[in-house]
Amino acid sequence: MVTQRTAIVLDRSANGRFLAGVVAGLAALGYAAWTLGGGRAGWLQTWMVIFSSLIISALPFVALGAVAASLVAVFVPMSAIERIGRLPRALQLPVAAVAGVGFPICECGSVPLARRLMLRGVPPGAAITFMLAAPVVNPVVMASTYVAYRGRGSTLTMVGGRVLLGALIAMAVGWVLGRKAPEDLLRGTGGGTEHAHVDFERPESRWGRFFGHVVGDFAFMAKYLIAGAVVAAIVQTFLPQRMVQGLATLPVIEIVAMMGLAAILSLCSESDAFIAASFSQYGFGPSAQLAFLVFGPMVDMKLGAMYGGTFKPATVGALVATAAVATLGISLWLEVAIG
Amino acid sequence: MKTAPLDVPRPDAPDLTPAGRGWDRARLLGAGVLGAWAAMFWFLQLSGRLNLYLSTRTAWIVPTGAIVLSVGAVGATFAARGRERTSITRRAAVTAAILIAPIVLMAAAPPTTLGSFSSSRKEQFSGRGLWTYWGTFDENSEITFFFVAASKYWEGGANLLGQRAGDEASFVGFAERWDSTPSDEVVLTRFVVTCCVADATPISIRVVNVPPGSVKEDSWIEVTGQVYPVGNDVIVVADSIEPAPTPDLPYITP
Repeated sequence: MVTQRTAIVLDRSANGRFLAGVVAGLAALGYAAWTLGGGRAGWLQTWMVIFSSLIISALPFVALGAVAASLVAVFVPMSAIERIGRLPRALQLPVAAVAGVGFPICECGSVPLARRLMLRGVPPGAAITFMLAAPVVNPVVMASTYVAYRGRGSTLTMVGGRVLLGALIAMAVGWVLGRKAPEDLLRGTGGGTEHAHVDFERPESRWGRFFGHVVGDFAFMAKYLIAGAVVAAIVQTFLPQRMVQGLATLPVIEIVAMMGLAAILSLCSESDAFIAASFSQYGFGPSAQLAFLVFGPMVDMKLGAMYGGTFKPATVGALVATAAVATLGISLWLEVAIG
Repeated sequence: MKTAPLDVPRPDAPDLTPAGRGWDRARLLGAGVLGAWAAMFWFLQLSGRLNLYLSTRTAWIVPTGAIVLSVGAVGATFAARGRERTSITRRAAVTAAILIAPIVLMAAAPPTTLGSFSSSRKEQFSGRGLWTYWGTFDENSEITFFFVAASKYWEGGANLLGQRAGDEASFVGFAERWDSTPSDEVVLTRFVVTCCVADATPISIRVVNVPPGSVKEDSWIEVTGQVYPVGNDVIVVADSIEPAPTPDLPYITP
């Protein structure tokens, strides 16, 4: 009820007083940073440096991801992706899992796209596999993961492992859910979960749509990056490394902890590798970091809202449970295999 | 006048009759956010402040971001022209403020680096995953912070530094004091950054023969003296301790 009222208030037009309040809030923030940030408070100085570095390293990848996703949404016809449904059954899931290489869209864009694919006759298993794999198996995400892990001695493990695990887990979920008909999986057609990614009806030029799409995507993803960076910087500022290291040395717990953290932080896949890599200093092994990198783009808080508006509750439950069990199982196996 | 939030499309078709045309303020606001970030990235690049946040290995991210965001801002500005006039919703204003807040923080706060507060909460740099790097040290290598780290965590490095005991070396770092630090010593520290400052880990050296009270915590100093490995530790017997400006590259990258 309160949330609904807040939403109504927020959708009102912002008058001059409201805008002045927003500007005053930003000015107060700037004044506080100016007066407290110059080494007077060690904790604040540390938090600000870490927070800023996370944002600066990840934000260009968010922008590149928004550009790539907008190119796909505006310039690639739906029929190109729908071809997956015309493939032999045995090939549908593997091809859907690697299709993200050619269609690099983010997780919030892949949910409405999967819904439309299902409504247009693509088998649900293939559509769900594509939805989960595309945000992981895409060139921008591979590049950001490479940059985040370069020089740590585990670059190939992290980039290759992320792609492989992402594809495998997406196929597992697609296989489990793909046995049902679209009407058993999807909510009614008036889901209303398609945000700025999907404004196909506007009578304007493709480039106009493209740039409008870039702005919407960037704004949507960057705010989650900022929230994630706030939390990650707090953890790194206040928690002594030795304390977190205790958690990181517990075999199963370290994987579950990183999966839970990924779900809470709700980062976009283009920027999450920088956050994950920053936890390697605490002793979280490659398998726990891979669990973070694979599970986050499939199950997190922002996706939960989108899944809830797109799929029936039983489908969401099965999707989350299958993704969690598959991520945990494969990560545990990896932990035994590579440590 | 109709409203359009920053990230939620209006389901109604726009009125593109000449009377209805103008600037889509919601899109202009979005373009402004992209432009503000583009300006921030250009500033970081041109002022050299990017070195406060990234390693030399990932510094290229900043100009890349500046270019992509600039193109996005210009394109979004043009895309906002000739559309239905809209006003900005409260949601769009709040979202824009959240997106701009980090810029305000970075621009307003004086330039600073990680210091003793952070170092006290972190384990020392061990070079885990960087073992191939240690192999590049030999008996003629300059004695650096990395050499010191190699001697602490690698047997070959310890042997090499043992052969060089008493050699003179210079180190630039920030001063800190641990609970166990005597009054005539300081700990000289430098952070190692692989990707960005979030992964920083410290390398510390004990500096002895320091006049008590002469060095302020978190100040940058240049120490010159003889280096000695002592057990699993490394000490520098200071001949001179001079104040030093914060280096252009305050963090070191292997």
